[in-house]
Amino acid sequence: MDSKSVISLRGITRDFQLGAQTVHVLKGIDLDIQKGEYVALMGPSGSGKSTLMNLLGCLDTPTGGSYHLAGRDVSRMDDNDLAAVRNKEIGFVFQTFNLIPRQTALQNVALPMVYAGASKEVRTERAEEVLRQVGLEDRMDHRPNQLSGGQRQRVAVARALVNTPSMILADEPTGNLDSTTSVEIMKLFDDIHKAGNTLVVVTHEEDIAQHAHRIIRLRDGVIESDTPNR
Amino acid sequence: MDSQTLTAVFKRLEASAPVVGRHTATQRIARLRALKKALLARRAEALAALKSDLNRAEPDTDLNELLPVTSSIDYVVGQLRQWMRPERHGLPITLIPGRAEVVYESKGAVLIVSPWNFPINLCLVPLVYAVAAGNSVALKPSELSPATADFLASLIAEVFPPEEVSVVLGGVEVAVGILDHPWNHIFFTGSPKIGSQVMAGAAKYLTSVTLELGGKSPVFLHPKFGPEAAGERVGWAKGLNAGQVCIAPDYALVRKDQRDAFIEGFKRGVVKHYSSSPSKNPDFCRIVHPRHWDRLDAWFQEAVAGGAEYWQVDAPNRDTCYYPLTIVWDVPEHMDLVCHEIFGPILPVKTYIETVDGLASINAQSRPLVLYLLSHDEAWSNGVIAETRAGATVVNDFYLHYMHPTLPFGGVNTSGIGKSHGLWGFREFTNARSVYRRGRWSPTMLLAPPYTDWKRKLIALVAKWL
Ligand SMILES: Nc1ncnc2c1ncn2[C@@H]1O[C@H](COP(=O)(O)OP(=O)(O)O)[C@@H](O)[C@H]1O
Ligand SMILES: [Mg+2]
Repeated sequence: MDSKSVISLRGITRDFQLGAQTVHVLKGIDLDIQKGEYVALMGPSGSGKSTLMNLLGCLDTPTGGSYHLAGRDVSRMDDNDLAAVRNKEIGFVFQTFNLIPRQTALQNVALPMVYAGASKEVRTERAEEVLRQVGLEDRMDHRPNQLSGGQRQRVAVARALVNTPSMILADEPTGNLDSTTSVEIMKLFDDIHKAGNTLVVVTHEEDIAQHAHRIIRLRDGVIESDTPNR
Repeated sequence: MDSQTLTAVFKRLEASAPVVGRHTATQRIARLRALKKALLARRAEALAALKSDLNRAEPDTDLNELLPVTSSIDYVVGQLRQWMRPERHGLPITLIPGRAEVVYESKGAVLIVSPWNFPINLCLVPLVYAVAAGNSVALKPSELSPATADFLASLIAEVFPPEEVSVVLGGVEVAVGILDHPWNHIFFTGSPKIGSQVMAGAAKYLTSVTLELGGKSPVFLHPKFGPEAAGERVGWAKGLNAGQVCIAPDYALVRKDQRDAFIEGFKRGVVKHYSSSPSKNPDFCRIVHPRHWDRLDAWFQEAVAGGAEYWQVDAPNRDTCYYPLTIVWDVPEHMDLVCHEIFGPILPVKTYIETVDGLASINAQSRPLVLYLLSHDEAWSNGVIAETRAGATVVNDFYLHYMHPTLPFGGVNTSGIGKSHGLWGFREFTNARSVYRRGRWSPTMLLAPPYTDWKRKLIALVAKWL
């Protein structure tokens, strides 16, 4: 295991039980992702993207193999420890944003820090900082329904950044956006990446993946190709 | 019915209210028994009316319309003498000697306005409590279930003289007209939007209201429950009356990693309980009115156009008002499907990562009529119950709180005001009147002015010690 790896997977398998039948969905994945990398995870439907993402996001644990996240073995952790790891190390970006409708952008972004137990001053200061980073300094007091789709996705990205996670995990981040807004969001991802964040984006859209610096393609539960991009 | 007729109905019921209020428990019980007897005798007509209005299968009408009425009557008949008895209360030392009690007296002339989705149940169950409480009653069934409305009018006319219970038939104008009278209580079942108008109208006369409304009732799934089993059950629950139930699960809140398995479970559950082409299943309910069909389809189309994905068991058919069971995911958050009560067979799935996120999303919406939990983790369920507000919560099943005879049924704020069922239902239709009786000798006078020196001392002592 490389000591600079944010993510280190060795021999990861994931089986599911369907009645009497065992389905082997991930069939031995080895993967290292370094701090500051920008990775796109691609593959045809059914190839195992979601299953792998659930493992990377510490929502699920593997049947076999090991997973080190930021140096800690998370592959055998119990639910409480996993939840703590998720909150500290991972910033999730949802396709549907998952914002709280009656709260302002600032409140939405500060929410993960409430769970983390930060004081009000610290929360507000940090939330303002990340909202500035995503270019929403003049929209902090707006509610989701007063924002455009692209702006809502920016709030969601800011919320993912707020706890300074080791990795941003985005699942089809542009799925609900028109193409102009998608371009805008991908530009934002580029900026976030330049600021030193580690990004893993799951997508089935080739032009979205082209923004990443490394493209990993899954097929039938194994890595089919893993290539640098530009 | 024109406004003169409506006014006449009100005047008649208002005039007879004191007489009806004097009915003894025995007299009230006799009326309820007669209602049960007539309803059962005319069961075939009830089944036919529901078939005609909603394509409701006979077993569904038996279970969801007739049984709630007859079992309410049985329960009320068994309890009524006890409920009507004045309730004696003990006395604090300052009120001795004396006697204190609460008398549950009838409110007077009351109006029940009921919807089309369970047109017998939601009309007659409130009626049972209103009659048990000694009120004269006007019933306004929904015009969207016309066959049932006619049946109810004829049934009521058979059982009750018009000065005790009258049925008012008609559409929106009739509803508005009959509401605009100084009723002693209004019991409304329907949507939050109309509920708000009913309450505004009642405010004019300071009439008390019971509002049985609705809203988006979530199903919150614990990650250890098993997403496929959960999906299967929700598939069944969403199909009841084609989702046209105020306590139907509206949407599911599922942990992100379990969404796909939940969707698979939902598909399986739908096919298992309603077949793979419910459009050909004569027992599957239709959407009540093309207007509602259009609304459902417009919401669905908006979501799909916005990038949502979906599965539908078979094809919608506007001509037969058939709408298929549908599951939708990745719906953009500002769309109607995720902002308004669906009242139809479409289930959006939302995802969460941590329980606290799920709670935040539940608490960001109006307080639901029911919060359903699927969870074998008692501590988790208790935590969710403590952190949310809802009219009711059912853990690991659907609808069953409605069947319990002594649990209060109702919402909170936008999902409803006031409670019904059992003692709660009886009390909703009564005025809890406090009666305090002094004995022949009243020590109050010892403390009345003028405040002489010794009275001042006495009052100081009382204030200090009692
Ligand atoms: N809980 C599960 N039980 C059984 N099979 C599953 C489960 N989750 C995923 N699968 C199967 O694993 C395969 C990969 O699924 P998934 O990871 O969702 O792929 P992708 O996201 O690339 O479409 C699919 O064939 C899917 O049906
Ligand atoms: Mg997938």
